[in-house]
Amino acid sequence: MNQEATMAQMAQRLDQLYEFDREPVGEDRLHKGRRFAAVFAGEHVAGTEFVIGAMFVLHGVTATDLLVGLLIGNLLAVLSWTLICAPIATQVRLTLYWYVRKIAGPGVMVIYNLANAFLYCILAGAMITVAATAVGIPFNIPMPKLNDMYPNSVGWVVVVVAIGLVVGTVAILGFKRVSQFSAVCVPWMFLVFIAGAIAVLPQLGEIRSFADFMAIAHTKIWNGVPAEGQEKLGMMHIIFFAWFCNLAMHVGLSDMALFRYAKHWAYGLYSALGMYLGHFLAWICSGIMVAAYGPAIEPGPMAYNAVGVMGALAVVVAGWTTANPTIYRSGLALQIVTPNWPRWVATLIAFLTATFMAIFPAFVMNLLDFVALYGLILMPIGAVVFAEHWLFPLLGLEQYWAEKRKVIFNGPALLTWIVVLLICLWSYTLTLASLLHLPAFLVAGLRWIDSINPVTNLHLYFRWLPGYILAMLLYVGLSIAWGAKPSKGGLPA
Amino acid sequence: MTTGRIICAVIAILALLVCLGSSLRVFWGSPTGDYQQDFSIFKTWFTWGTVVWFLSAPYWLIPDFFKSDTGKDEEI
Repeated sequence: MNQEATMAQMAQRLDQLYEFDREPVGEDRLHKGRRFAAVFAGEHVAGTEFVIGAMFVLHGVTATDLLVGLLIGNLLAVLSWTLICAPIATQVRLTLYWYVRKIAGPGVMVIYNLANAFLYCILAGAMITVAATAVGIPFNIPMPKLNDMYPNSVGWVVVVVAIGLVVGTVAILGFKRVSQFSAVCVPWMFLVFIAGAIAVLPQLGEIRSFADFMAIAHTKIWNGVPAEGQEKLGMMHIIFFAWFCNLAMHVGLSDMALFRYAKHWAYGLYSALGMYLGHFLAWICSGIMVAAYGPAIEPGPMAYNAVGVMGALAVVVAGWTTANPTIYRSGLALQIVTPNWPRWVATLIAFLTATFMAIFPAFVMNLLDFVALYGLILMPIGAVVFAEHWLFPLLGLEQYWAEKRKVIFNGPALLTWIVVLLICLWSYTLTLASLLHLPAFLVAGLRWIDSINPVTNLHLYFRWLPGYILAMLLYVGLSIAWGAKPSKGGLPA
Repeated sequence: MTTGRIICAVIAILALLVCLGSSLRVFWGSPTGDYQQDFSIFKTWFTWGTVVWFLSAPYWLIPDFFKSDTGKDEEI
C-alpha cells in the first residue's frame, strides 16, 4: 500500500510537469505540413550520424547491401510513422505520456519515464564522447580504439569531463538558446557531410562517372571486409537497423507528442525527409569520410581530415546540440523521484551520469547495439498502446479499463513489458550470471531456458519484431484474463 | 519577412553555395591538377563560408535570436 502511495505521489509530480499537455490539441492549434518537414529534416542530422555511417563501413557492409538496405529500411521507418504513430496521434491528440497513463496507469508511466531518463543519459554520454574526439585534436589526446571499453588516458577523461561540464551547465541554465542555435546549425551541418564526402572522394580514386563511383564504393568504401574484431553485417541488418533506429519514436509512439498537432495522419510521410537526408545521405557521406580517414571511430579527426577545422567544429556542435536537450529531458524525468529537489539538481544528476558514461568509450563504440537496445526496451509499451487503441475495439474489449478502475499499475501492461524484455534480452542474463559468479546449477538453468528461447538465435537487431507481435498478443490475452471483459451492447465506440 | 531578413537569407544561402561549390571544385579538379592544393583551398573557402553562414543565418532563421532572453525554457 505504501509503495502504491509513493507511486501515486510520483505520478502526481510527473503530472504537474506535463500539466500543459493534459488536454487534447484543439483544431485551432494544428500545424501545417512544412513545420513537420522542418522538424524531421533537422532532427535526423545529428552527431550520431558521424558514427553510424562510419560503423557500417567498419562492420564490412557491402555497397549494394548498404544502398538497398537503407532504401528499404528507411521506407519501413517512414511507413511506421505514417501508419502506426500518426494515426493514433491524430485520433487522440495526446502525448504518449498521457495516453500511456490512461491505458497503463500512472505507475507504469513513472517506470517508463525513468527507463527513458536512464537511456537518455547513455545517449547524451555517447554524444559527449563524440564531441570529445574533436576537442581532443589540438591537445593531441590519444583517441580510444574501436574495441576499447575503458578510457585510455587521463587526457581523455579530462576532455570528456570538461565537455560534460559545459553541456551540463547550459542544460541547467536553460537550453532555449541552444535549441535555437541547433536550428541554425542543421543546414550547415548537413553540408559538412555532403561537402566533406565530395571533397575526399578523389583520395579514394579517380571518379569521372557514376560507374567509377560504384566501383570505388564496392572496392574501397563498403568492400564487405569488417575491421578487426567487428561483426560482419549484411543487407537484412541494414534494413532492420534503419527501421529500428528510431523505434522508440515511431513504433514506440514517442512522436505522438509531435503528430498530435498534425492535420492528417498522412503527415507521417514528412518523416521521409529526415530518413532520406539524415539516415541515408548523411550515413553514406560519413561512410565515405571514414574510408578516406582510416578504419577508426574517431568522428572529430575524421571530419577534420575531410573539412578542416570546421569539420571538427561540426562534430563538437553536433554532439553538444544533441546532448543538451537529451540531458534536459533526462533531468525532467528524474525530477519525479527526487522529492522537493529543484530541477537543476535533477539535471545535475543527469549530466553527471551522462558524463561518467561518456568517459567509457564502450558506449559509443557499440552505438549500433545501444540504439537497438534503446528501441527494444521501450517498444513493448508502444505495442500495449497499439493493442488497446486498435485491437480492443475490434475484439469488443473495454478500452481504458485501467483508468476507469483507477488502478496505479495496469498489471497486464507491466507484465507484458517485463515478459517481452526477458524473452528478448534473456541472453544477457548469461553474461550477468558470469559477472556475478552465480552457482553452476543456476547458470545451467539460465542456459537451458536460453536454449529453448526462440528469440535467442535471432540477431539483436531482429528481436524487436517478434517481441512487438508477442507484446500485442500477450497484452490482449492478459487483459482478458485480468478482466477487461467484452463490453456489453456491441463494440465500444 | 523584412528586407533585412531577406538580405540575410540571400547571404546565408550564398555562403552555403560557396561551401558546396568549393567541394565540387576539388572533386572535379582544378586546371592545375594539384589535389592537395585544391583540397587546402576548399577548406579555406569552407571556413569562410561557415563564418558568413553563422553571421547571417540566425537573423534569417530566428527573428528574435538577438533579442533579450525571456528566461523561460522551451517546454518539451
